[in-house]
Amino acid sequence: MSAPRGRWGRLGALLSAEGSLLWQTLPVVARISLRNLRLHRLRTLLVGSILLLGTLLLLSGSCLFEAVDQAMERTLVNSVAGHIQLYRAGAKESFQLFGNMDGSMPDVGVIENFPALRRALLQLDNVATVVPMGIDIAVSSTENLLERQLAALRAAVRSGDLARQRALAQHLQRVIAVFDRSLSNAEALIDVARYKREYGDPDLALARVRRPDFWSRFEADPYDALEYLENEVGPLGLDQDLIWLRYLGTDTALFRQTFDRFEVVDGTMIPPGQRGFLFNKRVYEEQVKNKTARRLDLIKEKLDEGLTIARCPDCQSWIRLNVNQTGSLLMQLDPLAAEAVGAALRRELGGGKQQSTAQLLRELLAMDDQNFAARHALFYRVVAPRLELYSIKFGDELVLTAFARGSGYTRKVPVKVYGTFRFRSLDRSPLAGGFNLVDLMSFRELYGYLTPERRREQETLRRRAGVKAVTRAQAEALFAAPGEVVEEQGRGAAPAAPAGLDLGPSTGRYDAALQRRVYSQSELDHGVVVNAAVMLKDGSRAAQRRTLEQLRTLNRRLGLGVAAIGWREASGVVGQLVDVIRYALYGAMLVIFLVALIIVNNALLLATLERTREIGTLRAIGAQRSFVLRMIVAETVVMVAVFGGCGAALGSAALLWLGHHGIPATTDFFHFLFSGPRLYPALAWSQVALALASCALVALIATLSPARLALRVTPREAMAEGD
Amino acid sequence: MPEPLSEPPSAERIVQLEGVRKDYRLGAVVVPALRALDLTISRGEFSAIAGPSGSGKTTLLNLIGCVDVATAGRVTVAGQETGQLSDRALTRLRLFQIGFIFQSFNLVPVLTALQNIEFPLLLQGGIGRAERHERVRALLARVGLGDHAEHRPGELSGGQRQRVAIARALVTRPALVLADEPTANLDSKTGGTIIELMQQLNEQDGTTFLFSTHDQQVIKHAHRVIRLVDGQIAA
Ligand SMILES: Nc1ncnc2c1ncn2[C@@H]1O[C@H](COP(=O)(O)OP(=O)(O)O)[C@@H](O)[C@H]1O
Ligand SMILES: [Mg+2]
Repeated sequence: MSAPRGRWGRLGALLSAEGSLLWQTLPVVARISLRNLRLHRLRTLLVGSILLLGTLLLLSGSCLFEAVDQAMERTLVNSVAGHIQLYRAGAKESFQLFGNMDGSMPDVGVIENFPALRRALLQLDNVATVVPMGIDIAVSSTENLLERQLAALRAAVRSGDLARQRALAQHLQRVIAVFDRSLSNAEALIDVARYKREYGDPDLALARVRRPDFWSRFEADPYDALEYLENEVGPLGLDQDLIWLRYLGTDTALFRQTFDRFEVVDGTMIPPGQRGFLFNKRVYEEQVKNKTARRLDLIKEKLDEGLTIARCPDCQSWIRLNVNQTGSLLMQLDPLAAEAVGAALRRELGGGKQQSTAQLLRELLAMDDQNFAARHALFYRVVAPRLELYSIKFGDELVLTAFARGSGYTRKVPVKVYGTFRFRSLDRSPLAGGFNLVDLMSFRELYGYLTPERRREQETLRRRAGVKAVTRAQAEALFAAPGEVVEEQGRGAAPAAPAGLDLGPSTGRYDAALQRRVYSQSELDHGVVVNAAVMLKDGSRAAQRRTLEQLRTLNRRLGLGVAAIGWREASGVVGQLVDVIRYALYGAMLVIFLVALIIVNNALLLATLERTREIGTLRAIGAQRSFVLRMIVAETVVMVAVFGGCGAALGSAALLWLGHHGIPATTDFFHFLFSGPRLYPALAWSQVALALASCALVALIATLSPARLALRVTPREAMAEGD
Repeated sequence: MPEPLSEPPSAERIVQLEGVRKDYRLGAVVVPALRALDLTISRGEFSAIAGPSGSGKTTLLNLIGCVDVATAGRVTVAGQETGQLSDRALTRLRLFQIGFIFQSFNLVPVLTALQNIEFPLLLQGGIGRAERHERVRALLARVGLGDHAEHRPGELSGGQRQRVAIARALVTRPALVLADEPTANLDSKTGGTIIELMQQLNEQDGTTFLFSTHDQQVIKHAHRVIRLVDGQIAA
């Protein structure tokens, strides 16, 4: 089939040949083409509908993608990324706002002189704000069941509510009885000797609190008994939950001003300049909320998405778990609450008098599609108010434990929980929605750098000890108060300490005064940060590129020692998702392109073959090859104009309509992709032109081989006999 | 009316074949279709090529019609040696000097009678629409289809289609009209009228006609009969 190159070369010459005749023969060419298209209606419709569909898909695909890309950009830029991210130059790892694939945070070192960096950057016209940040992971634990109940008992004792005190004490006795049994199972699993050495003999403590006289004395001196319970029994609770928290330490007031996707959902904002912690709403729901309640929420979400329990295997397993774990739910209810729940459920579910609360709870939680809505409401009306729905509440202190980057210590930093927040549009995305917010001071302490207090504390100690430079060993000796365990992660010798590195261990003791302290702006600014987000005044893509360039030049000129990357690069996998979609789209378009090409090409080839005699006749009576070529191309052009045009028009209309009404995000993934509950695509004329051009390109490529075939037809073909 | 005899002798010979040979190659087999053929056609002739099927009539007309080139020998049409010409030049020669009438009429099915006839004029270019239409309508009247201008080939009978084809062949006022078995697809009565029409046009305009046929009825009308047997002119 392959023809010598010369043939294609001549094609161009033919196209331009007899140019003067082009206009004169155009009407007849057009007439022949149109008549031919009409004569072979079926073929025309086939080829036409492919061109129409192709153009439609191309246009809508590219416009939808563009909309996703822009929505994603708006969301990421305005929630944490800013337009540009800065971090220390020459870092070992590349900076990733949302962490590595394995969930860890890359070690990119720190920016030591943030105020100087900010001053320099604000010289650039387009820089609006520079927000200091530090992102890392901390671990925290919720209280175990015993600890929670002891706290409730202490509150009852303090309030003098004797009935409640008795009910709670009674309940606690029962819990301890159950707990005893579970512990004897646990002992089989652990090194008992070692356990006893470290924590004392649990059996002794349990034996003591199980004796009736312990509880008869309880009423006489509740505080003494509580002390014993809290110290000796509370820590035995095994159901403590460790929660991993990805946190973003920042100048909270500036952060709130700069990122408009940030909003407090419940509770209050961390007061300006103060220490404090805000849970990400999603994390709070997933990690801190009562598991049974959380599962009911998840089922409700699925049903709201239009699923049914019958068609949702996850929902079914959540219901099974809820039914199987009524025991743990019941344990959290004190006897008074349990009785109230039982009575209410008996009334609502219409069960017999003999049914226990446990049975009633099981019945309540065994939900199906018919009763879910009612049971869900009943749970929240009757059971939830009597539970501790969240194991950490606003106003609670939360001890964050993190691995200090600088010194190699484990740091324990207590912070007060103020509430929950979300990034609008990102709140349903597990990837990018997982940040919790913490103040800059707590972050620095967690990260292993000095805060003003720690600096003063250290200087005092240093003076007292009469040394100038504190080595790590000395620091340990200095800080280790009697009886205090210095926690350390074996990471070998600490690196040469950069300025402000805090070499002492932390105790994690909550200090109310420290939590109330308001730091000045200068205190906030002077200290290390890991990265900084730069928000621009003009955020157009061109301006972003320009400013990034200027910023890099400035960085080199002033030796600021930072690396600057755009939001997309900083967003890592999240930002690249758009690229993945882009390539998937290109791939899909290529497939459409090829399929269209093959079908259109075949149809046109067949049409040309059918017309061999006609073409031969035209050649015999004096039509040049160029005329034949024009005739063939004209048909394609007409089809592109008509059907491609229709496709573009339909696509434009659809996009305009969708741009007005929005496309609903049906799942979490689409929620994230659309950066919100609805995507509003915009119709861009450049995209219309591109889609039409692609349609024309496909059609013309599909016309190449039919055209070549037509050009090969000799006038002798006209003489062939038969009609 | 006969042509004025004032033209130079070379121009008088519209077609000249000298020692023309034409072989067809079918794979390794060479089929000789014409062998060492000499022939001269003068302007104004109304001549028939006669011979049995396979004798080389179509081959000969293809060579004269510049639709094919000879394997050997020289073919000169309207003063041009066709072996020396490019495809473009051959096409121009066909467009301006030769009219074709096909056995199967070969009209463009999607065009009306008028548009079919007008077509070569459009290819020639430089003729205004009014003049084109005037010429087409005059010709339509002469071939007896004055009121069929807007009919498509599908709406015409075989004889009518061949009349349209004749009009199309004549519209450029060619020096030579070639017709390969123009009546083969027509009944003998219609065939007769078609030949009579061609004869009439030859007499009125002096247009040279060369047609092939194996129909004795048709041969009768020819002024000169060139008999082909096995690719050679019979004595
Ligand atoms: N394209 C071709 N390829 C091979 N042989 C051909 C071809 N055309 C014609 N011939 C052969 O050439 C000879 C002359 O054919 P043709 O000119 O068609 O005769 P006629 O028109 O008198 O029937 C025949 O033997 C025929 O088989
Ligand atoms: Mg023949």
